[in-house]
Amino acid sequence: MNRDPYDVLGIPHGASEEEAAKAYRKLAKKYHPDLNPGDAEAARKMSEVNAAFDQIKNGDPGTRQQTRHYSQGNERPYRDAQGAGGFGGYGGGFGGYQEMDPMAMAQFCVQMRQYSQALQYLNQCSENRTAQWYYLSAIARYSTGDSITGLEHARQAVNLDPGNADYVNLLNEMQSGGRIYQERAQKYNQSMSMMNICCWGLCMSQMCAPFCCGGRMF
Amino acid sequence: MFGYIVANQEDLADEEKKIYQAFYCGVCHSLGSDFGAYCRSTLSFDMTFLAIVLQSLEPDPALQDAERCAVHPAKKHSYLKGDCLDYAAAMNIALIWQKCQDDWQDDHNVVRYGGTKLYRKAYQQVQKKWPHQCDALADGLAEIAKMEVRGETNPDLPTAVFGKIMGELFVMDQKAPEAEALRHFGTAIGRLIYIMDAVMDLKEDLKKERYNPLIAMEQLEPVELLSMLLAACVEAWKALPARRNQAIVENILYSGVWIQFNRAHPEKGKGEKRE
Repeated sequence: MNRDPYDVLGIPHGASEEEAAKAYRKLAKKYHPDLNPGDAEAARKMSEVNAAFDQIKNGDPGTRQQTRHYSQGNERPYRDAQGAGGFGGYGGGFGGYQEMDPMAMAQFCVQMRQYSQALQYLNQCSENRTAQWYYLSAIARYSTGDSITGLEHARQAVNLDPGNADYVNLLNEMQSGGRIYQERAQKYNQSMSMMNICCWGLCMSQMCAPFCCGGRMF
Repeated sequence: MFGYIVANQEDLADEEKKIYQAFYCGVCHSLGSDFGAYCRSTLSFDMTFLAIVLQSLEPDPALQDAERCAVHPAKKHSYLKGDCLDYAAAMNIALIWQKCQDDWQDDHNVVRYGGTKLYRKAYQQVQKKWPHQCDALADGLAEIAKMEVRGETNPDLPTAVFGKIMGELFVMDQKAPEAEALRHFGTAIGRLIYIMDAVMDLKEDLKKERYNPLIAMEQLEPVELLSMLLAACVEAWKALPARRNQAIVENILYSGVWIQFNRAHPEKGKGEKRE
C-alpha cells in the first residue's frame, strides 16, 4: 500500500486515536461490503481503509511490537504446525538468524510453537500480507486465543491461494467444531419436527411419549 | 445485547415448557420479593437461563410454589424458588443498572438516567452481597468502552473481555467444585452473546457510524463464526455435571439462540430448516 494512511483516512498526522476511529467509521459507512453488496470497487476501497487504519493504530514499524493489541489467552497450539509450509531449508544452524527476513523468522517461530514471537515478526512485515503471511498469522492468532481473527486469516489465506492444501487444511481444522455443531443442530431440529408431527393428529400423547420423546442429543 | 439466549418453545415438550416458564416466573418472583415489584419488569431470558444452568447442578430440584400476579391475574401459576433463582435475579439487577449507567453516560439518554436512580437502591443491595460479580461487570464494561473509543479492530479482544464478565457472573459459589467449569461455560456464552449482538447490529452500526467489533472483518461468514462459538458453548456445557433440565439447555443452544438471527436473515438458512 503506497498511499499515506493518514491521507486514506482523511485526517491530519497529529490526529488522536479517537479521531482516527471516527474517520474510519465514516469511511466504513461509505465502503463496507454489507452496505454495498456485490460492489468490488467498494470492497477494494474498504480493504485500503482497513489497512490504513491498522497502520495508524500500530504506529511505525519500529514501535509496532509495543502497540499492537493481542489476546493473552491460553495457548492451544495448532497441531499441524510442523507442516507450516516448506520449512526444511532452515533446519540447520542458528548463527546469524537475526539477519533473516521477518517472514522467515515468523515461519520458524510458528514451527517452534513460539506464537507470541511469531506475531511480532509478522507485525514487522504486515504491510505485505501474502497468503503465507495470513496462513502463519492464522495459526499464531488461533493458538493464542484469538480464534475469531484466526478463522478470518485462515479464510484470507485460502482466498488468496485456493490451491494450497496446507491453507485449506488449516481452514477445515478451524471450521470443524462449527461444522459438527451445525450437523447436530440440524439433527436436533429434524428430530423435534418429527416429534411434533408424531404427537399431533391421532396419536394419544401418552402412547406417543415413550417412542418419540426419548433420544436426546447429549 | 441480551435476549438471544432463549428457548424455542415450539420445540419444547409440554412438561419442559412448564418448567421453563416456572423458571422465568421464579426469577420474576425473586426480583419482586428481594428488590420490589417495580424491578420485575427488568427480567431477561438470559438470566432465566443462568438460573436453569445453576439449578441443574444442584443436588435437589428447585421447590415449587404458585401465585397470582399482575401478568397472570386470572389463576395461580407455578414458579420455582431457591438460591439459584435469587442469584439470577440479583445478576439481572446488576446488568440492568449497569446498562442504564452506560447508556446515560454514552448518549445522555434521559430515560436511562431515570433508570440509574430507580434501580440504585436495588443495585446497592446486589453490590453488597455480590461485590466480585459487580466489580467484574463494571471493570469489564469499562475496558470494552475504552476499546470502542480507540476503535479496536481485533474482534477477539472485546469478545474475550465480555466472555470474562459472563464467566464471573455464572459463578455463584466460588468454592463449589464445578466453579471452574461453570466459569468456562459462562465465558463461552458471553463470547457468543457479544458476537451475536455484533452480527445483528452490524448494518445499523455501520449506518450510524457506531463501533462494531466486526467492521474490519473482510471474510465474515456469520453462520460459520456463530457456529464456532456455539460449538465451544456445547463443549463447555457437556463438561458440567448437570442433573436435570438438559433438554431445555439443549433446546436453547441448538435452536433458541438462532431465532432472532433466522428472522433477520431468512436467506442464510441454518440447521433450522423444517422438513
